[in-house]
Amino acid sequence: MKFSGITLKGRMIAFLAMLTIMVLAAETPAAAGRAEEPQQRYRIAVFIPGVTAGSPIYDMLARGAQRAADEFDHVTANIIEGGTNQGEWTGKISSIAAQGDHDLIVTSNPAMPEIVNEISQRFTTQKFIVMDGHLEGNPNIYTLRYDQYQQAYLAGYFAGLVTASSMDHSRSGLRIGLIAGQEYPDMNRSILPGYRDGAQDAAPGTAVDFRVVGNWYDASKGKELAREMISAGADVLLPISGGANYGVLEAAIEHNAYVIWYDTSGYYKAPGVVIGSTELLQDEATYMKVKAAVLGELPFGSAETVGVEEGFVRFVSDDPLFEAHVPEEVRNRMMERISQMQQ
Amino acid sequence: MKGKLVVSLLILSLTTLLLALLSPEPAETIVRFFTGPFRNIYAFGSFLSSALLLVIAGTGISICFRGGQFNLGGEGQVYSGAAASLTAALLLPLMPGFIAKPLLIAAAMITGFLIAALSGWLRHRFSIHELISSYLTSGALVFFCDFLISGPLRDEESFLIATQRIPGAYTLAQLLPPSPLHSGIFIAAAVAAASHIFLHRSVWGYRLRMFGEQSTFARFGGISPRTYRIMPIGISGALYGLAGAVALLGIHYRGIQGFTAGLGWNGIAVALIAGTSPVMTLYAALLVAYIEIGISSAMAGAAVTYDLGLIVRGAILIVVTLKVLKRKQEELL
Repeated sequence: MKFSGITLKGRMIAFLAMLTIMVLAAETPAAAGRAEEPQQRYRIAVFIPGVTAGSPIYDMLARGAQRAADEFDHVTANIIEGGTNQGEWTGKISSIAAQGDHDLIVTSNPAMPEIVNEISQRFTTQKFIVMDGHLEGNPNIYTLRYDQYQQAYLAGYFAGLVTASSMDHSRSGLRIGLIAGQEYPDMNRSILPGYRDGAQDAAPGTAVDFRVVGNWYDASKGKELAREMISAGADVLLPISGGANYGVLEAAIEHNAYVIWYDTSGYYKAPGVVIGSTELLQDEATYMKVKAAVLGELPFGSAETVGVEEGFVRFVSDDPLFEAHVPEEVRNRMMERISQMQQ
Repeated sequence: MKGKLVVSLLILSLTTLLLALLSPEPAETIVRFFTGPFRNIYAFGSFLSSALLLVIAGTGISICFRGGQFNLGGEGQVYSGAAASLTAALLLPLMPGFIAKPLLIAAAMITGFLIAALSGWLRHRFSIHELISSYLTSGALVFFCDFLISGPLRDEESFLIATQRIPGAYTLAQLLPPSPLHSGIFIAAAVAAASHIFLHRSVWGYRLRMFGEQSTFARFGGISPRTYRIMPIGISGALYGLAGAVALLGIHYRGIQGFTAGLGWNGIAVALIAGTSPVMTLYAALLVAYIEIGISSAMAGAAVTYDLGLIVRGAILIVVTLKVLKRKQEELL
């Protein structure tokens, strides 16, 4: 007992010494840095509501902001991963805002405007950019939203072309599927209608089988739903269900159906099965908007919606796998429709 | 007391070490960690508001320990308490705040009590160890509460997996805007005081302690094993439920999936650091809250993921359990 007490004490002293050294070491460079600071530093915090690994849309956000920051000597971007617990996002962004040393907080996803708007009531001088979200009228918040109707329309139009085509796995009957992680306002109001309208325009009479996984991770549930949809006659599936997408992909590989990838290019994930991709150019958009904010040219308080015409939403048609697995006739009709939309 | 100091220093050093190892800018990270709760009003208020929840949760677990029981179901009990409060707030007709608040808090406490008491009863009736049963029920309840929030109570207009906000009249008063500090701090103080009186100045507290120290002896003294198998863990469940309700009414105002996550385990850490005394519970709660806010502050300034907080929490639990194990070992020898 006595003996172990002494060792503990010894350890304690060692730790204390280490601590002191660390704190001293910490103070010096930090203080020096502050002294030689140029006139006006511009600090950006990029808050990732989740993790960047495995999430292309957040990865693009981080890269876009970083690229903008790198163009200026006085700008730094600090990428902060907030983790997947939604209940903690408000507190975490608040604590960044409370520190008051970031001129701009950049974040992304449709849920962030309501969180950021609430925080903005408490921290009235903090500026925010929310990508992939929509909120108008708060003078400190700029939002940019991608036209989800258009993106879904592109996917739907292509799905319609494929289900009506004579491609290998395209079966008789005009039936396509959409698998969502969850039902949410954008899904019901923009994505599903867009997908449906696109399919109708490409092949009138196409039926859309819409099913919901119930979360954003359950791949086996995704697979089960996809299998049911395929056996019910759907030959092209659009999964928008996070991690469950991979279950859908597996079912499509096993049961000879096609998949369209959403938000990022996914051809390489399963060549010949993923035959279409729609893409958001979030890196480019983030880069432009953050740069505009640094230059003082971003209209905070306004909300923008961008789509195919602006070039931030597109159908990925320049991938060799697309050319290799989709017949020329289908490709030509798709390209025709895209160029109509771009005008 | 000296032991507590050693443990505290050990925990702080370990945290420092982890931060230094895992941060690309160790210097800035560590400075930010130690100054965290005092950098601004928001951080200070968050520090107190997270400490007060830990006082409530930790006090319950301390009482449970004194009764010789272990409750590993904190996560589920906090979440269920909050969910019960939330359900009542959203589904019952609108009431004046002074009626609604006690009602919502009672709903949470009763829910927490019943869940935890079930484990105590199983222990008494079927000799199923409460350690296992509380942990398992908690695991199931977390999914059930997730379901409530993402299903029946979900706000369809929100992009979050969240419910609607509870009526403004039901919320606890803000004490230090813009920080989240709220009048729940008085609830926490009352809980700490009441638990001290209960344990040391009441006959039930005396029996509970006696049963906890020597259940066979206590039984020969005429103390009902059923009551004292159910009471300690039941109280810890009720206080966990209370912590859930306070988190809802004081901080979040709405159910968001997973919004009380972590409180259950941190409550156990607090009780393990504190040992037995309610005063020590206050100290331990402040220590754990300090670390939490320190990390959040460190992360806001340097590029390290918030998940580091989870690693540190795990490390703390290991340190404090080692201490308890050592004590147990000494008792055996």
